[in-house]
Amino acid sequence: MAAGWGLLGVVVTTALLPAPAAAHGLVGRSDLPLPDWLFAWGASIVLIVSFVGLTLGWREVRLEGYRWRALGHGLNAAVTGLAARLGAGAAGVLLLGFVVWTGIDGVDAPDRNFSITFVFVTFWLGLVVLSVLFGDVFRAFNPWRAIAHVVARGFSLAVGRRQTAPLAYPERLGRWPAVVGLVGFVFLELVWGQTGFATSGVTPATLATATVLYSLYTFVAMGLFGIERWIDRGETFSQYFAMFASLSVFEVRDGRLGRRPALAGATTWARPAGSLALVLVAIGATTFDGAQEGVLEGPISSTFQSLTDAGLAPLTALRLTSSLYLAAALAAVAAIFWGGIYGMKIVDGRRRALELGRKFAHAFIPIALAYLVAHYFSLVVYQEQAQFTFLLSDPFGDGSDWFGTAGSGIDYGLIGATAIWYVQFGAIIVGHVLALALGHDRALALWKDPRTAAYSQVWMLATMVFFSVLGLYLLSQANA
Amino acid sequence: MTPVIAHAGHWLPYVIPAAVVLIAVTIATIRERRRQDDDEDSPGGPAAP
Repeated sequence: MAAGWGLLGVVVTTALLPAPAAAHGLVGRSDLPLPDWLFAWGASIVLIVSFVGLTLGWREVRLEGYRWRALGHGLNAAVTGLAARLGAGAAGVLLLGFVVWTGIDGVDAPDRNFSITFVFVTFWLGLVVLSVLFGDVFRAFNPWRAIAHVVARGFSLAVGRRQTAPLAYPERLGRWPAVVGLVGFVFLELVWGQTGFATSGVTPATLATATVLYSLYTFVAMGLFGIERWIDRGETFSQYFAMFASLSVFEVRDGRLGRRPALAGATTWARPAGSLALVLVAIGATTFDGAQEGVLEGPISSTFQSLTDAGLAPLTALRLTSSLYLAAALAAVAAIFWGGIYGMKIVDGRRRALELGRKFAHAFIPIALAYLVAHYFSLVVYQEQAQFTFLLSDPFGDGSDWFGTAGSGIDYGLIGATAIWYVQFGAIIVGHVLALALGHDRALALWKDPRTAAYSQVWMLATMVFFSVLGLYLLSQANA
Repeated sequence: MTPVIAHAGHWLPYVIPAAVVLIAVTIATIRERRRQDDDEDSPGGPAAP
């Protein structure tokens, strides 16, 4: 405990020293009352205070072994009844088909084609928010699951008996297929389609092709291992959104909607193999995206130049460069994580690092969420205006005006740069404090002695400070 | 001067809190580990939690 107060004292004292020269200004945020780096110091102080508060006030396990309570029949019937399930499944299938259709038949311009904004913003980012708020909603809307169930039901009716999966899903594979899929999606979005300083963006046609290929792959995997088994382990988007849904207060159990304490679902989420990798890839991908717009812009440019000087074609050089830096970002995030875990191992040398890593993987889900909100908040605010106005009325970009909103545009004045910065800062703070709480609860469950639990968590605190400072630094540089 | 050093004014203020916390955490851990080792080496064995 003394360690926590000591840390607080040192950081506060350091914060009162004269400001370092050349503190980096944030463009468009000249009205910020403090230099941007001071927000990183503030975040560190908040985390230290939170750590002390958790150690003093959270003395017993609260989240592990949580209670789940079913919600009322009326609400359950409305949300999980047959009509709701059929409607959600049909909506998912229609949207999947529409993405492929607009991707193939629509204009090539990514900003005027429904498919690109829908997949990379509404689906990829919007569903994360919905998952945290309402639970695993993607499961209900999952188009591949809906199609597979209809086909399986039809097949069973035709042959007169229920079919079983020909292969048992190897448990040791855990979530690794989903991890590979996530890396693939991130590669498509940030490497194949990145538009940093050369034109190589993902075209709607490329996205449609990728969607069809992924759909085929998913149907084959479901056919081999069973629909629900593949959804529960290998299907990338199901696992990605379920990871964030584990933070939600809502959970469907045996077909019934119920309530649980917030964050508690995360305590059981990370059990299958590959869960840790999924969380770290989620954090690493956002880290890379943030870094390539700011702190890595120079190094990427210089590596790209070296590769083109060596004779590589510009597009190949660009994608190779981005791949290298994406791998470096993933490695950096993993290094920070394992640094914290090995520090924890010093406190209790009897536990293996891999065991500790798996035990604390779930605590990093709020960080993945915080990074996502901080980095993409403004993108969602702006692009969703496009999604629900001109992209909705003119999804193919051919001049249609289905709902009379084709002439609308994006109001970039809807939210100011300063407000965006405060949302980003708030997201980073809240996400890391929640991560500390999850780690603290797990430590109490793991080490019955509160003192050892507290000392193990000083390393979680250090890791959280690293991630929050890194996140704020990347944001400040990306917006500089 | 390398770009990293040239831009130290940008990243150094961010590194300071992380470095301070890392040093404090390392010291706290070493002290706690020593205490645990002392408890185990004492004639009465490890102290009850």
